[in-house]
Amino acid sequence: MVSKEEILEGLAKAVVEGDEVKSEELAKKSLEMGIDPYEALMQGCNKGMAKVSDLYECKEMFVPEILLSADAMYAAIDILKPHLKIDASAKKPAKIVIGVAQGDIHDIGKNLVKMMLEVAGFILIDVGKDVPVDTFVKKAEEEDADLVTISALMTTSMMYMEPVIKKLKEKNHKAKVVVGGAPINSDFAKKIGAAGYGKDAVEAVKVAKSLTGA
Amino acid sequence: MVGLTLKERLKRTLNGEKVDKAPVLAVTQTGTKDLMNLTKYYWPDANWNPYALAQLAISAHKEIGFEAVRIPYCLTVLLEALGCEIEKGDATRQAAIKGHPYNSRKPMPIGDVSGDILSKGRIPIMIEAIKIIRSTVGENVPIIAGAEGPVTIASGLVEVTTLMRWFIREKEGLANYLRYGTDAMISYANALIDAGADIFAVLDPVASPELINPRDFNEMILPIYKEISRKIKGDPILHICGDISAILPSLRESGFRGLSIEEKTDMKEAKDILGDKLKLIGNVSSANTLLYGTYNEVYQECITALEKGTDILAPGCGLAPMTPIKNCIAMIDARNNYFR
Repeated sequence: MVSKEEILEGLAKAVVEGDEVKSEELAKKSLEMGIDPYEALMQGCNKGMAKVSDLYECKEMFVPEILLSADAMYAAIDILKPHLKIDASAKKPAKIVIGVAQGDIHDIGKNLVKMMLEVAGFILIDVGKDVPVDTFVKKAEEEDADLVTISALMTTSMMYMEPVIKKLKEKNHKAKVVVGGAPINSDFAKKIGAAGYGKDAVEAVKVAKSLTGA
Repeated sequence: MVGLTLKERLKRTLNGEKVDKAPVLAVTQTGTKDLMNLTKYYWPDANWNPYALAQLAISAHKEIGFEAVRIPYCLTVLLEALGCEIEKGDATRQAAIKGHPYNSRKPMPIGDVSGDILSKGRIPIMIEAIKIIRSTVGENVPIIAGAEGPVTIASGLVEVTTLMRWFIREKEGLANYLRYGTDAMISYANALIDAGADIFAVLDPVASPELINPRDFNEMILPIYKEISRKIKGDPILHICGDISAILPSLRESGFRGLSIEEKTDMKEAKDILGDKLKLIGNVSSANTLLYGTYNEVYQECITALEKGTDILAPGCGLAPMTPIKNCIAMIDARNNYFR
């Protein structure tokens, strides 16, 4: 008989190793054993992804490994999600609008950041790639977002970040803007008045947490 | 040393022979709005019309003073010839890949590159443009032609996140795609050299350690680079974006003559690792300084790059279309004053 600890550890390990067959199997097993799906999520999937973040930070894991870990994590989440009980008394997670700046169709970075933020417990509203300035602003208003995160790979698209920040300020919207992407650095982020900058997906989570007090 | 032509100086630099000063040029794209306004040749047409393509490219030599003419303005020519759908872009937006013909969870069989690739897509336009440039600027100005490298080709054929997963799960299938792209690239490169280009630049942003595990790079990409650098005529050079310090020791053995780096890779560190094996090209920030900085900031960054040992002063990556022409001219002024 396998113990609960073994299942949860196995799940975390399957996520780190990017083994989606195993993670799906262990998620099912955890339900069969009556393990609280929330605990399986936190102590299995999230613990695994936290380890992935650490390994990425110290350059032992790279983007391909992270993608496979994400696949494994989502395979388990798909099994666990229908069984999660909604806790009405819990503090509402912060909402983040995320997208790639206008003119830019490169979304791998955005997708990685989105995934890491989701894992960290944020609610993500993905507006996709090549997103016009007004769409970011409109979505932030509609969703009452706490953060707007914009990424750009191309220098041609960097210039569409500042107008989003300006328009949100003009409207006195509470959403803070975080920017990132290959040509961006913290000086540029400061120059355009962004509230934060993340050099990669792991740093983006830290910035989002500190800006939302999560 | 006095009286070196621009082509001689560039060739001598890449071959490690003595020169009077470092060349200043771009191995990445040079089309900017200012140059389009001066020449009246605009994107996207300048990507499809050989005469317009040539005139806009020549203007970076004539109006800015870059010591080479460099084509094209995008990373899509080979991929288009290989069957990718292209988004044409506009005057301030580069042409980009829109559709990935081979995107699927598992690698599909991919054949050999058929011999007629050279007649496909815009390849004939590039060949024609090189001939026009040569007849306009004469023999003494070097022509640099660039194209997407094998990893970037594979990422265009199958979509980048699919490709990333294949690096772990489908190594064999991935190897077929890398083979396919490599063969296509070598035959394209040599056709451009035969048409009159002097230097071929392999641009492989997707091979960066910011995306690929250096271990996979060593195992699957480095051997291909060795083959490419051996088979491409002339003095082939390589450009990889981002912080590539993790693969610099491997690149020592890649066989390329030169390596173009962004400001995210430290020039001094690169010089220390590469020594004289690969000549360094770069690394003035195209986004933070050339696009958004002032003339003085560009000038200072150029001096720093030269002090840190760059062999060829160049933008770290493609020029952003809105880059002010005076910021580009700051590069020429800095080089001239440094070697005065």
